[in-house]
Amino acid sequence: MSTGPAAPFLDLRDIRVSYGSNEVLKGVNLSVRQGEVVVIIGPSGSGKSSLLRTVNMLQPVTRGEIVLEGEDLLSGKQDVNKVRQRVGMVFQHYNLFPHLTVLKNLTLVPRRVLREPTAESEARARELLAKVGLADKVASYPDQLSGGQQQRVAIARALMMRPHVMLFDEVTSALDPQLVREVLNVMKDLARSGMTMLVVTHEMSFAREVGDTLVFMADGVVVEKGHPADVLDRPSHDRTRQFLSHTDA
Amino acid sequence: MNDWIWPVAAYLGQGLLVTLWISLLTVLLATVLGLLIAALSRSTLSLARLIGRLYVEVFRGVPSLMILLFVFFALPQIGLRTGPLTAAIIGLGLWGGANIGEVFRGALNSIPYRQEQGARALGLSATEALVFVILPQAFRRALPPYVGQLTVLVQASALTSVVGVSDLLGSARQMIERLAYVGAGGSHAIEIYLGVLSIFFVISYSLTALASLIERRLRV
Repeated sequence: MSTGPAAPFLDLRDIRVSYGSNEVLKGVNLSVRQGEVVVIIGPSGSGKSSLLRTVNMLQPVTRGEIVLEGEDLLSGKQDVNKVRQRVGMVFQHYNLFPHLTVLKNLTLVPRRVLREPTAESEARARELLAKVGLADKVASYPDQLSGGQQQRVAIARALMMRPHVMLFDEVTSALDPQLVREVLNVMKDLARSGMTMLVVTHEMSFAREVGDTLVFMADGVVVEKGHPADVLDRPSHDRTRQFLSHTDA
Repeated sequence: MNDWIWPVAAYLGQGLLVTLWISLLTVLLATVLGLLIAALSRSTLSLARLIGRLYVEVFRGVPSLMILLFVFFALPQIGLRTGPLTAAIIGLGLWGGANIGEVFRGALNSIPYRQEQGARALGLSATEALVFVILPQAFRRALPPYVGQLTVLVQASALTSVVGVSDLLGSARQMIERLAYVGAGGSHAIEIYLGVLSIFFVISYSLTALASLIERRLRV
């Protein structure tokens, strides 16, 4: 994959997150190069989703630093909404807007917030929908689509903002097994196109095939990280070994 | 001999206009109050939420007729004097506002947090998320119970005859009494009440039909 510049594209330093007295992230460090695909695995409650959410500031951070493309996101000087337009996010439950057609789901923010001409945003929406294999669904409503189709719409919707990095939070966990592949294929294409991606998933084959780096988290810390094949086949920590023994890696 | 029909119908027509007028103003007042209460319920200030909560609990906890009588007969004793029509509108509006406020609040709360989260993740501000994502969905969900409350308010307008408003029901009662007194072949209570009943039914049914039409159009 691509080799980034010397300074990391995204740098998470000593990220700490607490809910009351419960600390869910206990000082996480993670550097991401431009174009790198970082796959994050770990048991539920390990803090991997919280970590992902800190990057687009949906999750307030108790302490730590997040530097994206050289800008300190937590300096208080950043416009949160502008940052989020650069950081695309896709959720487990798609979060499509049920009152809007697929096309309008994609064009809502470009038209209403970025004030793009309708023709321009619709053209880009159609292009992205074609890319995820849903060119014929522009006029459908989300509830007329399968879960896999909805998730592909959600990916296209996030791409409408021309994000510099994409976050995927267990995007195949709510899908029937036969629908998982169509979503993973879209993500593979995206990775090949050079998109920087942080992917929280339970799909070990995806981690192995597409990931540049695999991060294993448990109890709010990064236990182990490295090349996916190394971590999956030769884990160096007991905690990792224990977790992987319960998966079909 | 049916020569009593036309004078009675003309008089009831006047009453119907009063009923429609009361209903319209009551609905407007109750809707404005309802929106205010729903907004209070989502306020970040706990005092604002408490005020909204208290209002709803108090006005939903007492009979509408009681509020009406209180506004018309009790408030004048502390100097707040109103005519019967105004008292009727204020009393029913205050009562309806609590119920409609609950409808709006329930509709807003029924929109899952994921929707807001999805909108915010795309870079919408909290206000933009509310305007473009939450409210359009809440509106669709609120519509059926909201229209239900409107029909309740139209029907409750019949209570205003108690404080001396010559609404549809009030006019009907006056006519029945007069017919019984002049002895024009009896009071004709059956015919007149059936007529009044039909009119209320037609108004309510039209509202419900209109609502289901809008529902279909909006894909609720």
